[in-house]
Amino acid sequence: MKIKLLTSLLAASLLLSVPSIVRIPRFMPFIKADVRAAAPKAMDELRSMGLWLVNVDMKSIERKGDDICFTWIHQYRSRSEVYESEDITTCIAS
Amino acid sequence: MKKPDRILILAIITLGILLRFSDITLPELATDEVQAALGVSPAWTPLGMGILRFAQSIFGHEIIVIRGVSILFGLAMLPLVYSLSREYVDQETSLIITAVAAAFPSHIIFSRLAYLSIQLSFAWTLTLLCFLKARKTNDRKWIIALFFASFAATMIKTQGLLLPFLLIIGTIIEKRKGTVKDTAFWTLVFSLIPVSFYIITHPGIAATLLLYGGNMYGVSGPLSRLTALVSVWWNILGLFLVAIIITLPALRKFSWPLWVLIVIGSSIGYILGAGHEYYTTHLVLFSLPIGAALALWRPALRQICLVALLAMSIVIVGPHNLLKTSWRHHLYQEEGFWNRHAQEINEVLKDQEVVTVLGDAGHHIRWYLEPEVLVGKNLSAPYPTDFAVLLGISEAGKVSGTVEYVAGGVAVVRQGYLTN
Repeated sequence: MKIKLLTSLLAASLLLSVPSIVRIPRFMPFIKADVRAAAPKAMDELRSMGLWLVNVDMKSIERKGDDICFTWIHQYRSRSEVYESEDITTCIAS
Repeated sequence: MKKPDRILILAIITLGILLRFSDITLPELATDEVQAALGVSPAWTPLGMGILRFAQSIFGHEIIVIRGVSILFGLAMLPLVYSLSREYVDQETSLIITAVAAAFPSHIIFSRLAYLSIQLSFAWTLTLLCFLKARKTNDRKWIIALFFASFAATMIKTQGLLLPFLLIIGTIIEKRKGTVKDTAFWTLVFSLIPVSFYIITHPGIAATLLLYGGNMYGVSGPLSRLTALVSVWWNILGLFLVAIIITLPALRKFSWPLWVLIVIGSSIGYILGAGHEYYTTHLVLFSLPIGAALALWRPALRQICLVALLAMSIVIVGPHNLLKTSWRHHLYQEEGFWNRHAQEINEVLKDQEVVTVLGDAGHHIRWYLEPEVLVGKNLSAPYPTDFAVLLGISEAGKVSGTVEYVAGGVAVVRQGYLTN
């Protein structure tokens, strides 16, 4: 078994995982059940604005009083244009 | 190999290559093609989409560009199938296999369309080849190639992890305690680490599985799933389906890693929905047992069979103005609606920054319409835009105003309400 090569490949796999690993902190609030329950409702609010959810990525989650507030980055993409991104916050009563 | 065989095989491969260039811009872009071309999806890993975005950054945002990427992967698959075949059979048989792959209708179709299945089929086949080479030679370069091929497969589309995962399981079953010392095994395990982190940090993937699980995805309604699958396969493969069934015993010539890939390619449509025709791309791997069986037949019979398969291919996927029959694939019967009408619709909408679309708005709407598009089914009248685009007659009652354009069930309405 090629131990040195496998060690290098393990290092490579962790390096290739970095873009995902750095996202972990923003999803830590999902450990809480009320955040998981609120997330679909927050996305329904985005839908009610007529937005395409594929153009939306989650930026942060925070609590404001009794509300759980999701901040999203919305960036519309068409054939020839990627629009400027905008932050949208949707708050759900917990 | 005798000269008639060589000439016939060369002719089939040549025609198969040419067919992959035919009628590229005839069908309109489908929703999944545009989702891939626009580079964002809640359920897919990013590499496949990234390749399409990269091509567009160089050559422009045109249908021919994004489908051109598929053509390249489709063509690259042919030498790959040859190389994979050579792991099992001699050169002559490998050439026969390559000819069958070249003429395989579903692979030709999806070499012309911008679905990610063609990229995934290539990456899976490359992973399999590298797996076989790595196990046989234990050569450093094949182990590194295996890692990156497997990683690429997982990053082209999330379901790409299926092959490396099942190869891992297969290795455990085959080698048992000896697995721990198997370099290829650990290489595949490490190649799955990045996609595991990707899935954890992109909840859209799990959400998509939950959304469609139990109805579209899954094994519920087994008989209806099987019927739908066979119907799709028959319509897109014709005689190739008969060849697959007849030559199934030839699978014995091949080892379990190829069986794994063939099983994945065959069952993925059953599990994720037969209506997704693009899963038939992966059936091209059946060219190996088909070709292996044909190689054992008498030359005259083999030649007749190859000519029949080629003829079937031309009937299903030949140039649309060449031979029109009921076998012609539905996408290549006539030019797509949006290809014909998008310019006229955009002329009506030319002063608009945003429009509302009512009806079943697939992602292709964002490609064809120049203004920003709001998804109207989640809104109520009056809509927050001057214009609404109605996709289908059933949407007619949802908006009041002046019809500025209508064609083929699509209407553009200038709303009669005040919007500011």
